[in-house]
Amino acid sequence: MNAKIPLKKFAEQLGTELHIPAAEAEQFVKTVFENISEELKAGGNVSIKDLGSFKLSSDSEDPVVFTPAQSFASDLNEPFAMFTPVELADEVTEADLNEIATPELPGSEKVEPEENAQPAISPEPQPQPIMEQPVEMQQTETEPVEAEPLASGQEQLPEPQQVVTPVVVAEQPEQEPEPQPEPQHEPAQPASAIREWEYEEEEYVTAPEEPETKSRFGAGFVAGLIVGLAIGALALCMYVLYFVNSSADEAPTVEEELVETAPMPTYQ
Amino acid sequence: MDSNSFVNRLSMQSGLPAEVISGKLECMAKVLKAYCTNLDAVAVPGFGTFTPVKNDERIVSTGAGKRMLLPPSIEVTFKSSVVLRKSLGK
Repeated sequence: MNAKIPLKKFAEQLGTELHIPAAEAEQFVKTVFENISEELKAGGNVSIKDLGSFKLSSDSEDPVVFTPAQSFASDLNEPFAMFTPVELADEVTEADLNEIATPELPGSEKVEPEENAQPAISPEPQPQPIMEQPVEMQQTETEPVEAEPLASGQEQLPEPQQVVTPVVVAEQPEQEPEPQPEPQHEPAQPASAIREWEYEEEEYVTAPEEPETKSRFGAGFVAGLIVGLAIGALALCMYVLYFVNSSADEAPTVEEELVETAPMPTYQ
Repeated sequence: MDSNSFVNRLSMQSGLPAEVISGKLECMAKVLKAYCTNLDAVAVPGFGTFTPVKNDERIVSTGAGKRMLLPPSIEVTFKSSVVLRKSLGK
């Protein structure tokens, strides 16, 4: 491309096409152009079929004008034959045409209007969850299959894979609430939906910790109850020991009363 | 001189039939066309150079004031050599 082909190379190519030696082809080419030159020197014009015409002009710098034949020009512009001249409106400028032509190459602007149009619709997450839901639907299909053999008893045992799926059944309640937080993050970065999806899974995995807090509450309640009972028992013991002993100290025993009330023996 | 006269002239000089000369001329035009399609210039010593020029898509104003968007195209220009110009006396 953009190379200057010498006559020898041109003659070699012509010889290849005509199946004749390159020297013979070169001699033929020289003969053709010498005859054209002679005719031009004589003041005439030369017209060659499928090539074009050579005419003299009054221009001193370019005295010979070559006009390609119609077939020559049409074959030369065959790659652009699909294009036709178009009349432009007055508002259209070259800058507008350049703006129209450039976005086709990067292809980034085509994606942006789609993203901009989706937020206006608001249900953006629906198309993306649809891509994920088919996988979930396959999992949900396994649920009834699993539930049936369990409910029907042991009639359908020949599916060991279904026995493995209970893990999937536990994941499904986590996947269903996921689309609610996704719409907030996905409109800008649909590619990161998987990461968010996984991150939300972890959140819901931690969700079962709520019963643990209840158990902690119950354990604390029981511990508090035990401590309270212990304190109450201790207080009861202290009460019994203190007041019973003090009352026992104050109240004279029967022996003491008998001793006190007994008359003093007199020795005569 | 039209094409037939030119072919007959070559035929008389070379002693070959006019059909053969016509076929060679057609093949020569085909080879020149192939080089010009690849935007390669063909130089003929003592005569001139055939140079293909590609014109990109452009806007042209017509005489009626309308603007036309023209598709890209390839044009072949011929630049005569110095020898030919001197022989022509220009």
